Amino acid sequence: MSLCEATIKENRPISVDFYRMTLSFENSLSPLAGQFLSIQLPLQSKMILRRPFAYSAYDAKKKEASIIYQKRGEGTALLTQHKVGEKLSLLTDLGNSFPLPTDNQPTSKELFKTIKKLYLVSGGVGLGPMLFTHYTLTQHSFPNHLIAGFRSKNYLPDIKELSPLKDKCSLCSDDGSFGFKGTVVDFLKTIDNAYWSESAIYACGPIPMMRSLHHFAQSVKAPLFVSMEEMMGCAVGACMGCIVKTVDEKGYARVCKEGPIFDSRQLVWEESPTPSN
Amino acid sequence: MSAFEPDLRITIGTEEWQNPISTASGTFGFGNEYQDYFDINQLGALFTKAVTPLPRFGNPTPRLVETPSGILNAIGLTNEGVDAFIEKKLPFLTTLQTEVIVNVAGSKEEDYLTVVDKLETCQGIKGYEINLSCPNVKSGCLSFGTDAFAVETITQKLRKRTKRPLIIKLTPNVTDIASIAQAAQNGGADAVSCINTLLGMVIDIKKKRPVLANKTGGLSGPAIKPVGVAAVYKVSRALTIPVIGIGGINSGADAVEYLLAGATAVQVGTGNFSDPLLSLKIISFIKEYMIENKIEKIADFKGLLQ
Repeated sequence: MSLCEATIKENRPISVDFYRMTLSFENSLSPLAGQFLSIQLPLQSKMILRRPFAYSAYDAKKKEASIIYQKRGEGTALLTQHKVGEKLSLLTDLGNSFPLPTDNQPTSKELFKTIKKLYLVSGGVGLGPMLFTHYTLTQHSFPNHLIAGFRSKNYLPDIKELSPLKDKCSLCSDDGSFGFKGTVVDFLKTIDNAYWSESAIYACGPIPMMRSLHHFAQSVKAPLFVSMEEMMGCAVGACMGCIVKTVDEKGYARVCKEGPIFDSRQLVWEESPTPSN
Repeated sequence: MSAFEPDLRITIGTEEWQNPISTASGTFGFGNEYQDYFDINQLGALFTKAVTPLPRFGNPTPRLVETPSGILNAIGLTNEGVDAFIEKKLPFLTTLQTEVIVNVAGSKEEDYLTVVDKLETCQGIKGYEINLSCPNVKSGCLSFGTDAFAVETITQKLRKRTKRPLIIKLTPNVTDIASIAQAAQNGGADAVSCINTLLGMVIDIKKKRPVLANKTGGLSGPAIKPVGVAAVYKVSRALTIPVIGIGGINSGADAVEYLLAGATAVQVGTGNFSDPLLSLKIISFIKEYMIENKIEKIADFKGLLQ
């Protein structure tokens, strides 16, 4: 975790509303798949909160990190206007990560006793952390398959990372304009049930998608780890702004500190959309 | 070359702070989160997140929304309760050299007495900030803070229970903040802190409903600084006890404004979110300002306003 400055190497649209920003750092970072960074907007703007984004890639040799973000409101609209060469202030390597076969976390050790394959599922701009996870797992030769869903062809990112994946990636479109017609959950339902005893799912996307995934995962008895999102204040665990409801006695956890990655069974999934959706 | 080394120390009740910069309750957790970014022992004081007698979940989300030059929060005093505070948070806090002041909140008078009584048995606490001004709790809390008689009464009762510095946190959501401050002084407070957040609301015009699940929240950040400075100006002239200024401090210059207005110390709150190192920058700025303006000690700021 650090507070530092980075230089913009790339900031371009990759589809309707989606952008990729690549940042170059003086010192090495050590982000893990699922973690995020938080960007300060220009000081002269009236927007005082930093904006959090999950890492979509990290190149340790070049000391460059990337994010994929969506132009959604005033803050992200301002971000799209930053040019190559400009500097930004960042809080880096925040939050926890998806369980990885190489980490020593108790959750990971337990999971990988039985899990032999991971399905990495993304909805829309949730692609970023799942790309990073795919890359990390592939580096460690752990079998994984990326399932990326988008509303339509307009939202399909134009990035080289998606094209060579071939048999390791399935693309889904709600409107059938490319790939599999249907949602990512529809796609998962085409997988033979026999595979679920040794498989788990990692996901990032809109809450309704993750709610459906949770119910699906419960039905096939597969572990599901989700990347949650909530409006953030401090992004370091101090302000209690970004909590999600949990099933344990305490009843809540911080997305920025205990999260953003949670075992879906730890969370309370309310059936009707919450105001934050 | 400076002719003298300015003295940044201040006194609140029985306690001396090494400098007048502290961090505001609710924005700095219990210290350990920001310890990853700088040595928080450099702070004059740290005001903890509010502690209540029993665990509180707080309000449903969304509990935060950005506003022009500010934020609206409706956290709702989320905390694990005083027993968990003593067991899980106090051990780290007692290792700090900075003054640890516990913010105490509740929904009825008895809540405040319960928390202070329990904390009186613990080491390492250098004062209590009594939250009589939180706009995000359905009962008590804010209603205490708008009633001078209630403020004086509760302060008197707490005064009998502790010799530690007793700081009453004031709400700006009143007609005359100076009279509420006076009530705190009459009740035996060692200092007052002002201001807490201003009551506000944001409506999403697409969804046609308030953004916050709680509907309203407390406004903080640069937008409220003029309100805070004016409150400190009025209150410091009405009182003989110190005033700790809070509200929209985003730079050393902002902190100096509060000191010139009459504050003895300041709290940095929302500013921590955009710059975790803000407090350190403010300490350096104040030192430089004192050298440039030949101000020997913090108490000398008060007489400077023309």
